[in-house]
Amino acid sequence: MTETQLGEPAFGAAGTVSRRTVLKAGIGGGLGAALPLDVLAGNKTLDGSVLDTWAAWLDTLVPGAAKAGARDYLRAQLLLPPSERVLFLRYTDWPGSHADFYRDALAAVDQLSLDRHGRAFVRLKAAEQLGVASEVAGGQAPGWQGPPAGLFHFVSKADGADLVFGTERGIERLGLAYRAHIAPTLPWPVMG
Amino acid sequence: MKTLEAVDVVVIGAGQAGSVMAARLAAAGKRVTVFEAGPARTLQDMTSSQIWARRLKGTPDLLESTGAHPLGITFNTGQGSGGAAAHHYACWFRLHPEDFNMQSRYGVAADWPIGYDDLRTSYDAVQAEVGIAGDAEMERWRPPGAAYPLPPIPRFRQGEILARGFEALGMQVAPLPLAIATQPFKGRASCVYDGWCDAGCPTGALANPQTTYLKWAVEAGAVVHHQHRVQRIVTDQPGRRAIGVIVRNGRGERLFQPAALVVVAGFALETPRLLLASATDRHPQGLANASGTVGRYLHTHAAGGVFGMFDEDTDCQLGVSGGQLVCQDRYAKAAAPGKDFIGGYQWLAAHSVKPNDLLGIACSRPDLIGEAFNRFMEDAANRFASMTAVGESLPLAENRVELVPGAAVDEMPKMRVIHRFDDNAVRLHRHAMEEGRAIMKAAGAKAAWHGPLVSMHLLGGTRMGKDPASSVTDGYGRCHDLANLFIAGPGLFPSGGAVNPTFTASALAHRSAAHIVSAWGQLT
Repeated sequence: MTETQLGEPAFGAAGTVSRRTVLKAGIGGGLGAALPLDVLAGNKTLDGSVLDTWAAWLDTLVPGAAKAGARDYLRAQLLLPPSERVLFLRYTDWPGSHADFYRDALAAVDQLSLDRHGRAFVRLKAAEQLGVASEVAGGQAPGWQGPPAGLFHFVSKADGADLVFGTERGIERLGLAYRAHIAPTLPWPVMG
Repeated sequence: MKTLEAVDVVVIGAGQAGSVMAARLAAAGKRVTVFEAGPARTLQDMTSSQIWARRLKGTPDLLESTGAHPLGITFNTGQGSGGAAAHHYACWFRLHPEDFNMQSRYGVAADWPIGYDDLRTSYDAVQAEVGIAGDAEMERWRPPGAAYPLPPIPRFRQGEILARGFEALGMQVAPLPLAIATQPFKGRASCVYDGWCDAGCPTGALANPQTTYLKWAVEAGAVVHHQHRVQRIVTDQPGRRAIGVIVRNGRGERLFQPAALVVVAGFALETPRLLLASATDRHPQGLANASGTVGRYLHTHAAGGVFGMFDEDTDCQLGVSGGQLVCQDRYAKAAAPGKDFIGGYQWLAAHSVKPNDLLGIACSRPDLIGEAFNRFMEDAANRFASMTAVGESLPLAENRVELVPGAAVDEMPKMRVIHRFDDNAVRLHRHAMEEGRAIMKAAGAKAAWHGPLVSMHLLGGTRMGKDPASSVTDGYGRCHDLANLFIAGPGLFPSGGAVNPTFTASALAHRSAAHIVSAWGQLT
């Protein structure tokens, strides 16, 4: 597996803006703008089209996940050192690269979509997306070539649940008081 | 390599057991240095978020957790101040007397070299220092010991509902004994029952090491160095005594710290890793490993969650993560008609749950996706209930932590962990899950379901025993092969019973520290 190629347009000169400032500002504002920092951080992340697939995938599993920041979340986490990431994959003790895990799984989602419907996942109708997701959730999708399908489904859905139901906004949306002892400064950690 | 000023004791690991050791030895006047591989964390770092809380968890140098039933390492471990105990749930139980004699009584596992009576006064001493909340009389299964110093946790609505279910089936529940202040205790604030235990408790109500023994260790004069990875224990030429450790600091420098006595308290994975990585000509299999058992007999509790959906509100977000109720009616060991397994289990019931995370509402229904999942979450947010069976599993020699070759000369090898549950644990889990669903239904749940067999707590890997041919240490945690090398923590357990291990690990460390102080002249 190779290092992901970053396919988004570069954003200014990295030297003109501090890393901390850019990454903090990136939350909610589109971390796609922080491309040079991927290189600075030395961590793999995913390119824009893969992140689009991710957002659509997560929104299929947990509606509202895209609006809650799915795209920014995954990108921000992959920029962090592994010990600082909070992706649900962390709980599985996955031995390989996290970026490769998500990229390979999303590629498999796209391939499954092509096989079933002739289009990439983001181009499918909602019902078709749900059908593909159900196949992956079953863990036995024929032709699947990626990390274990059931594992990918489990961790990515849990990522979606984090974003939609696990933040202050998400918990309050369920009608519950958040009751923080120490309130998080951001919904999730970012580099800074 | 720079040599530091000699100290009396080096403690490796600032988790629960290492903190107990450091506090007790420093209080006895020993010059104690603690090396902790992870970062310094104060109570202010305990952010109330199940998302942020994951940063407290994990073992970075684990390369792979594998086998038929891979252990959940990240969830069960942690590095930095407090170690795994920084995010533990403070369910503090005593092992039962029969837990110490599983081999001689039932022909399984291995006997401990000590019995309950040897540990009882240490349980009582730790309990008095830390403060445990409970109702000893209601725990009809509880071994003899001093009454709890704190009143039990209040029962919230979820607890009332689930108690109904147990009682309908003729089972008894009691308030879950918790190392949580239910009223102000020794300067610690009372719990406010908002359920953020898993994220580390910043209020000081929950007795994590930052609030108790690690704090007391520093107050007694112990020096704690974070981001200091001990890479090797160094022995004298004959290989009979430890003379210090080689440690890499946060700047990458390797230092030699001489010490009269070394305590390894790195938990069930890092402790055997360090011993194996400290092999010498005199100890070619690894330090303290003449028995060949270092890293082996790693085990866990066979656990499973049971969940219920109710028509009535459960206020399931209130309380503490560990739960409100305990039932040990199923702790009996022997197989019997209708019980096709050896060993027992206990129920921890009425956990405070958050919507997300591994033990949250969302992960109880991995099968639901899309709008069906979101509707479930909205329905369950305040009408959900959960409980957990904590079951005994038998330690197997094949379950182990091992080094992965290929590290650079000045680096430590990474770890691989191999684990499977035996059929006994699988049968125990099946039995418990059936019973759990029946309890939920009896409590009035309109739907009851359960989760898979999972690992909970890490035990063994450097077990104690009377026979040096089959164990690593004696009953004080002193390595059979080296007079002044001690181990502390649940890695010492030859068997784990069916209760959460932190109280027992603390009592063992407390007892060992007292022994070290009293026998200092002979040991050093």
